[in-house]
Amino acid sequence: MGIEEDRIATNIRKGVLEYCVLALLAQREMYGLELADDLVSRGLTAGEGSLYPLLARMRDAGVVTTHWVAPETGRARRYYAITDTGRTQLRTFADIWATTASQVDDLLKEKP
Amino acid sequence: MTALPPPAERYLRDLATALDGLPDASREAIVDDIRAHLADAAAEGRDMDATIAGLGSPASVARDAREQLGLPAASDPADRIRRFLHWTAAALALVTAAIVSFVMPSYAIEQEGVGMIGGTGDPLQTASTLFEDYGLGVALLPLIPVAVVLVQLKLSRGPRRIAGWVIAAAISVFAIIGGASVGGFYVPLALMLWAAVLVPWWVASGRSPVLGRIARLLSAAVLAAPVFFTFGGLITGTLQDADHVFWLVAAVLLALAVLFALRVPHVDGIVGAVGAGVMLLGAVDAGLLMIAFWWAGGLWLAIGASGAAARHGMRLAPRTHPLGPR
Repeated sequence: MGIEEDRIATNIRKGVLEYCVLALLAQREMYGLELADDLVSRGLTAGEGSLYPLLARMRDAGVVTTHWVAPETGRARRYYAITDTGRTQLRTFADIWATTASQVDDLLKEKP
Repeated sequence: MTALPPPAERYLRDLATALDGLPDASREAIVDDIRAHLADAAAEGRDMDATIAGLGSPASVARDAREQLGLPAASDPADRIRRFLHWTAAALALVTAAIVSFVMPSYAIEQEGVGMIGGTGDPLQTASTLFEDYGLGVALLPLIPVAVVLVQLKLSRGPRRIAGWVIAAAISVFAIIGGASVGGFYVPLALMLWAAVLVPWWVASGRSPVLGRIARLLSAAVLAAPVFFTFGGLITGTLQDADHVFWLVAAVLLALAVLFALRVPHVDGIVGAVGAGVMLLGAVDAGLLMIAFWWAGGLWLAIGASGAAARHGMRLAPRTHPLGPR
């Protein structure tokens, strides 16, 4: 990826990463590595390390919560789950995204 | 909590340091989560180096964290070290001023024919001080270096860096020119001020490990030097009352110099504290050997503080990660 491409991608991802996390957690609760893997496989984040400061802030904001799950075998893990506030925020984002994305698409399709 | 492979533990340590200044709860949450991330990856048998590289450098995680939490970016490590050393220098300048004005006799110190540590009945105790001779106005003059060091701490980063070099040079010149009288008391301050520009310069210029090792070994040799001087004094007969306390102290000091060379944890702080102690002891109790104690202690203080600062610099500015930020 070129430097310019990288910069644009990073900027866009930065704005939407939080809502991608919420969208993933809306499907099911996940632990850190799971969440990171999913985001990376979708090409939604470059540095997995940036996910954790974001999660810390989201928890402070009350859009996600954490709790420990100890399976019968293996290590206890801290899982992230979306809260009601998080779901509301995700719906708001979805509306804005739908409008914005279609506007941007239309604009890009316009012929000079 | 199970131990992770050494590179992962090192990454977490560097990360915790890089997150210095964040609220404890956020810092703990981030470090815990990343520890879990690394542990889960290790449990799945993933390549540790690749996993660490995937996280990005501790510095970039810390940058993200500060941005997320709306905190200002961390200050440049070299600058933090410079400030630490300059604050130490300011404190030293203040103590120096107090001693020059109120403790030390105002005439030049005679340095010959001294044969006792902790001299008894020394004639200098009866001599008058700068304060007694010239009054408060003159006695306040030695505070000028304190003011200068404090003022440069208030400057913005660029000018502060330049001012650091200028002040170190100016105080050195003063210490040399006035060496026969008051100036000599400023030698430790001059050393401290050089430390305050040289150590940050080393950190900012990429912390050459070779240079760092040479500096540490040379410093250790210099730490041992005052002890060897007293041995020299014993051999030539200048120093005569070497009792078991003397040998014990000499052995402890030499051991500290060796530990300093080996970069044992906490040794820097101990060396600095011993230096400060020796200086104060010289100021209150060494009689005619005052200046020798003052210099030896000053040397130890400056070297101890430099060592601590350099070590702190290594933690604050971990060398670029082998796989680098992507």
